[in-house]
Amino acid sequence: MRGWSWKWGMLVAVAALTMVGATKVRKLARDAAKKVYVAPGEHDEFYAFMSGGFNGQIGVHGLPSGRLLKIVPVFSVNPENGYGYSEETKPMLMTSQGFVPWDDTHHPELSQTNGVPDGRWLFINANNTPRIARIDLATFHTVDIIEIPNSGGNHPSPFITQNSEYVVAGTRFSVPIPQKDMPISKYKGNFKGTLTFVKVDPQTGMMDIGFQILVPGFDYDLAHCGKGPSHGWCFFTSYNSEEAYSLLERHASQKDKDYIAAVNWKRAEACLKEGKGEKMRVTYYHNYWDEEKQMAISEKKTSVTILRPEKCEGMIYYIPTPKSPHGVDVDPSGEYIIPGGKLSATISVFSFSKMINAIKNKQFAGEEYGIPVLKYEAVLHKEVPNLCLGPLHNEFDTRGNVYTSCFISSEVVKWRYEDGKILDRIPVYYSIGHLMIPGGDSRKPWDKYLVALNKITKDRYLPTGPELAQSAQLIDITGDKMEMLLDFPTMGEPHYAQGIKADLVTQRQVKIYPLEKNHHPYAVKSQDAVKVVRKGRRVDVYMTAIRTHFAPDNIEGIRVGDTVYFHVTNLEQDWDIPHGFAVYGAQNANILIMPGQTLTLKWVPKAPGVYPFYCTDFCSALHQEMQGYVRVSPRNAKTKLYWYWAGQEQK
Amino acid sequence: MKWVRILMVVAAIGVASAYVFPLWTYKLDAPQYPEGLVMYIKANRVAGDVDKIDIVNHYIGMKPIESTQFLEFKVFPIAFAVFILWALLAAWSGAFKLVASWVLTYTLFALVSLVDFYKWLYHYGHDLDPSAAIRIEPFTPPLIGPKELLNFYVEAWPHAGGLGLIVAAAAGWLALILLWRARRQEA
Repeated sequence: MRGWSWKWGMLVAVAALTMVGATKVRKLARDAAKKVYVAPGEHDEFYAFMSGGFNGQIGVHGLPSGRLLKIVPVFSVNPENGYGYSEETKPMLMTSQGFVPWDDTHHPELSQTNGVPDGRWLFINANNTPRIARIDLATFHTVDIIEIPNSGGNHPSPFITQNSEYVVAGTRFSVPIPQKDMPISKYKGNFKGTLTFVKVDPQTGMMDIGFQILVPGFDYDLAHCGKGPSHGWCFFTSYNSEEAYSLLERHASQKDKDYIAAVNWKRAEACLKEGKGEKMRVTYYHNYWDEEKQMAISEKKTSVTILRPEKCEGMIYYIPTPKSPHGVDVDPSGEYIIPGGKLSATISVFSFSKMINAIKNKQFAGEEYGIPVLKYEAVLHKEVPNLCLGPLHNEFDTRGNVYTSCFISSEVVKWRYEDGKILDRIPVYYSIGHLMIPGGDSRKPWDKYLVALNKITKDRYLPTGPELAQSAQLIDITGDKMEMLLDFPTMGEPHYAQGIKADLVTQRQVKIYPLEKNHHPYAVKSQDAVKVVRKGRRVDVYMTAIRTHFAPDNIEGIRVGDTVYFHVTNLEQDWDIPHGFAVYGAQNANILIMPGQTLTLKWVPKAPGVYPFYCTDFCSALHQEMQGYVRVSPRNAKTKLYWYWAGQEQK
Repeated sequence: MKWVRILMVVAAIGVASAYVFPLWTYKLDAPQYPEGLVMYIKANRVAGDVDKIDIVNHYIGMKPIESTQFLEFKVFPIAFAVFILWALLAAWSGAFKLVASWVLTYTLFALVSLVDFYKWLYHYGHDLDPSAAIRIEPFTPPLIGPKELLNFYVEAWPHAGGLGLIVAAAAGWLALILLWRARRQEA
């Protein structure tokens, strides 16, 4: 009996301890829940812009709730609203390779004024067919896409300078420049990279290629530009200084150190002024949205200015950096440059002022294809051993701390970059890539939350078959210890992200397009002006949409073999009253027309018949009634072209 | 007598405010319009979210509110000018007849306008298109105060211009009473 009571006693004790533990866990969960709770009708404090990776888009989330607010189509066609399908938006996706309906977006970057995100524009790179896009944050529409010539994959991009003077691009895959047919085995010395500086118009935001620096054929991976004292410089990491062209996982991982390319772009500008640039003929496209005409314009460009390092001394230096570095980040003061040496156990902190001294005192360790290589020790501020495994990226707070994402050890490490002291570490699920603190790569981080952008999801959510959403995690960084608050799924594969205090974006929001400012050539601004015009085999339908009908809603006299363009103007001038337009058998998409906007859907009917069209966006109590018919007659029929609405024959 | 002159100038200013500020305002709230819709009746036109209100009204077959169809918007600016000049003339001369005739004419004008306004409201709420999608019992939108209409909560109140017109009436009557008293004391 005594033995029994002892056992029972243990059981009770264990149960009590378990309950205490469980209560503590519940209390922690309750506290975390409070921190991310945004009450119904309330707004989040921050916008987070997550790159969509291979979906070619940008996911807009609110923080701290993690709620998905919008997917902005950028490089990928989007049947949801007709982006890339409507006649107005198709030119946005033109490239030297023709119409490219997809890309791989990696790094969103907010426009900055004085080194602080200003909420005007968001830039993002296309890694596959090299491009940079600009999204206007007043409308959340992609309004500008520039193709980057002489590049084999635009990865270290579009990092921005302190006053949005430039966004940069660089080639991850070096290629023959200019492109030509040659054996791959002749890579070494013959393949080249480019570092491109794309000028941003300070008023309109319009992009234009300023210049390209021709560099050795390494793989240029990531970048960040200087700020404060280091304003005027940009830093690009590179790997594969071995110049391998096959089985890179081994052959590009041989050297202990690769390089950060430190580019003095103000020096480059001076060289350009001295006429040291050379024009190269190459084809690329610049596509932009004409706000007035409400349509994209596609311009073919034929020349860029190339700068060769040997012709512009002092423009570029290499800093030796531990093994195959990935990210490179500059602290808010602009003094410290911290790469993520992904295959190294040691992380190096470089000093900008030391770098300037090293350049002044010519402390060189050698050169690569004529580019001076600085002495590692001369530029080094501090080496931090055993930080973690697989450090990739850094973001900063305002208290002298840096947060490093560690892919292999699957954690975020908080440490001080001044003295290299490690302060805290928190596990993340699973295998983090980038991390993001709103403003965390700027001069003024809003250092309340950190988002871990994890690469592997596994069991974090209800399973959805083999293909899963990506996993983001929100971490509170206000205290001494980091605190995990929330898991939330993201779409595509977010690489980098940007965050900004919401009011900087909300104050510029556009709610409608004023009809009187709509100068679309096919706009009709009143129902009395609608018409259908035939020119040979082309038929233009000048149509209006307003709650709750189309005008015209009956069209006859279309023939097989015609190409019909429905130009639909949404006459509404009220916020959040879009109308959709879809027509039977359309081989493109539907279009979603915002108030005051005109969009065009092309339609090629295949056989005689009467085909319905209708509004796809539930716009009012009578939305289901918002419909019409097109009669299509045989190719040689004599059916007269006519149209009407509201039961009144117009012609 | 000094007070009579001051009051008549006040009356003139009151009427003049109707050129600057709206006379009447309608506020509409509905679940779908958290920011609310507003319509202003000015001396010469209706303003505010008229287009949005028209779209909402078309479901029940109400006619669009078009400034051009109101003769009132042509008459009001002229009438106000006449009342301003007349009040200033009365202030300048201080003559009992001028003040009295202004007060009576102005009051009559105000009453007729209110009746006319009510008739328009009745007309809009009753002359509904019988082929409209949603058929409702005819109604009269409020002349003043709150009212619930389907999903809308509507409030009608005089705006600064309307208050100016009311102040003008009050000032006119006060001036008339003061003058009248003075005449009785003299007599």
